[in-house]
Amino acid sequence: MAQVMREGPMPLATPELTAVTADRRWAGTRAWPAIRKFIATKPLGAAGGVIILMMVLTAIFADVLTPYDPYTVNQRVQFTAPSLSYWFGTDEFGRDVFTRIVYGARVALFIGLLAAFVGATAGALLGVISAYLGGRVDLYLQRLIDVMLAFPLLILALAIVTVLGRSVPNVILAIAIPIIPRTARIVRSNAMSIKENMYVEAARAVGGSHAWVILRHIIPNVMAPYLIMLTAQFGNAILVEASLSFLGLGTAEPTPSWGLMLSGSALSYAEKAAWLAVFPGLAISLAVFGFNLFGDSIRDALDPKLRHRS
Amino acid sequence: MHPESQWALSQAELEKLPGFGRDHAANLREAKRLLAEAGYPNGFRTALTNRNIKMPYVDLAVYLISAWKKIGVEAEHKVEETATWSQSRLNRDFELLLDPYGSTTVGDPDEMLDKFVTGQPENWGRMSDPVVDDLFSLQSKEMNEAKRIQLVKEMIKRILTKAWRIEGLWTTRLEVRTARLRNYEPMPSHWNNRRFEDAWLTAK
Amino acid sequence: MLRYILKRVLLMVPTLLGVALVVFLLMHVVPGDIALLILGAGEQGGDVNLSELEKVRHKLGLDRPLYVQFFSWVWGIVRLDFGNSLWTGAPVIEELWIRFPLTLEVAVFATLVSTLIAIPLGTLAAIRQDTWVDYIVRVISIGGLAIPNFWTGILLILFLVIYFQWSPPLVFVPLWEDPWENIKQLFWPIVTVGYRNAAVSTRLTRSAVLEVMREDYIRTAWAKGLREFLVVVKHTLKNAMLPVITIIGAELAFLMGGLVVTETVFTLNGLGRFIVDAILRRDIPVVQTMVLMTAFIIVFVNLIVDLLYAWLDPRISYGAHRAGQR
Repeated sequence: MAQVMREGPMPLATPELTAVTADRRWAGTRAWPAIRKFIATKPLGAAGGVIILMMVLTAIFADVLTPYDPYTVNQRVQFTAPSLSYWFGTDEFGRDVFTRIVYGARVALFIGLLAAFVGATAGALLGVISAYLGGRVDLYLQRLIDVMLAFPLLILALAIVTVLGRSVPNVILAIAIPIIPRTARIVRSNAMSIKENMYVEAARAVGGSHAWVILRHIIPNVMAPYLIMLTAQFGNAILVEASLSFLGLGTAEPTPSWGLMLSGSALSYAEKAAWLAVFPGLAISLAVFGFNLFGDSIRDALDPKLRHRS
Repeated sequence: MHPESQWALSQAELEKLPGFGRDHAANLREAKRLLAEAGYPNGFRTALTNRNIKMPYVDLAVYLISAWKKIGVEAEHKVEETATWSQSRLNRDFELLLDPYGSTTVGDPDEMLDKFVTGQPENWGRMSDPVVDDLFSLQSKEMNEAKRIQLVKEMIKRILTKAWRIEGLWTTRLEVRTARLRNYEPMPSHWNNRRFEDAWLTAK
Repeated sequence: MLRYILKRVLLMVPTLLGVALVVFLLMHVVPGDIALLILGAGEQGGDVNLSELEKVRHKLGLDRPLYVQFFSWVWGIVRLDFGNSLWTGAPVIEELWIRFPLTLEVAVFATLVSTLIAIPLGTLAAIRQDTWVDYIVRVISIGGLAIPNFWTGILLILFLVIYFQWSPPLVFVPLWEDPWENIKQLFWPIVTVGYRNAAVSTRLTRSAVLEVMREDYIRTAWAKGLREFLVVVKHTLKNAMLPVITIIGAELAFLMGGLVVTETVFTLNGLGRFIVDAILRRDIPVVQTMVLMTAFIIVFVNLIVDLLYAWLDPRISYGAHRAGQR
């Protein structure tokens, strides 16, 4: 991305461009010194990165880390308090809570990351196309985005889940859709200002096709807001997935999902089995916390001047 | 039929039927063998359509799915909320359905076993067996109590052997009342809600 | 400027119409029939008489062709007639009106309290940037963002019930009738909904103040030797408020989500739970009306926010050429 920036003719210095080119040293250097620098300058972000890494490793090595199966029902040990054999206790089906939380990391990561990625990418494409084509297309797409923004997320999620069913792909869709208009807005305003720069016109005058101009000039310049939005939405997507599952609109039993673990059982049995209400919530908070810390630092590194309205 | 009624099969009779035996390991082996015989040595994938309510729907499904896993049957849990579920049920749009029944007033076989007769509206699984139909109409007309129980038990045995329906939970309704409540009689069926016009509360 | 306002107001119409169309289609595409539910087909009494079904559907007007239903609904809205709930038969407006005060109170107080906390906290963190004060505020606000509000609600209730044997009252008493009863019921829900907004607003205030403080005119103020307080309050805050105000508009959508979840956890008879129940019952007029109203509020609030933006920042003027913004 930084390489592409240097080859084109120097554009007018807009804030986004200055920040990106200023960091070209970072992109070009070797990994380890760069990481050390990151840790030194942004300790909070590094902490977030550690949390994320731990979560990913937990998700990958779930089978190794847990002695129990997250699905097996064993009524005889239901509601055991946290102990040496059941670190986080068991739920009303006798399933080990620790195991389910570890496997829940897989669900949270998969759904959250994929939903954020799909939503941000689709939104960014929409924004770029809308800005680039301009005119009528832009007008209609903007109205579409307005409608998407005005529609309450919950109703949309409810409707999607009701029509299409409560499966993982549908939950991902339900989470991704609200992300699309927000990303589109930001990317579009960036792309608009780039488009108005002379060098785009120059590129077209020289004979570049639409696709080439978009690829070479516009997309690299919207990478910053896109990446910012993407990393910002990771944490949020995990939170939304938990909320939907809590309301009974996301993943269904017996899938181990943190939000799901907090619905039904936690509310009904919390008085006699408080551990059911505590641990899944801790897991959610920790995960979102890590992603937010990390995302914040990425944003600071990429573009400290970007004031985002969303 | 309700295990505490006179219509139900006794424990001994039940244990003779396939899958009801006490030896769990033997049951699993037999199940796997039957699957292999039917052409599914590694089990198969299916979907269980269920309603979005914790007890008894979702909870039973959690147990069923974990139990089926042991013989290699992977059931996807399709939880639908009430409106969708009742539509799926009406249109017979399911592979496996979790369907509760039995909240009846009297618990008579005419009420409860009606759904196994060909063509009946509540026969969600579209089960059809002329022997079952015969048995049902016979027991319906039978005046002799003992003979009727005999016919009903025959019918149950046949249905369970065919495994059209897998029995799940029987639930007991618990009503919690304050000691101050007087002259209140619960209705036999929980569909009839409650009658309070003759009840009153004492001061202490 | 006036032309801009007019243009924006006019633009609200196609947006709302678009929302109306989407929600109408959604409600009619979604499987599940309220007539079936009314006849009790959801329960074990599955023997649904098909002619009964037809009668109920006809009574509810569900057997008319789709476009007829859509236009009669839109026409009704123009005359401010939002129809009757298919479930209770009462006018939708009445059903909404009963629950409106509770939800409004929670929403307004949550936003108010959170803004009152966020502005001083965020400003403090900004002017003491990179000190321990700053780090603490940042960690608290990022942490606050990360904690799901339904979990907070559950923990709060658990805590109150176990340690204080106290549970929130179930009956809603309006604020003007009996403030204490009202607060007893709504205090914890307001906290549960509000802390997330507080976290977001704190972070935004901090970054906005930081940005403004780097501007030249602030440096001039320092150079002139003005006291810190004067510089911060008089010069910085006014300009830093822009993005903070914007966030109130943008966060509105998330606020509604927070309301639904909180009302579920605390068993409040508010609009959030109501719309979820209505969707589950396929009570079409209620859902359509509520979605439309929500959309209207969101669009309207965003318009106000944009106008405030223009008023507060004289560099922005709508109507003439604007750089890069919508």
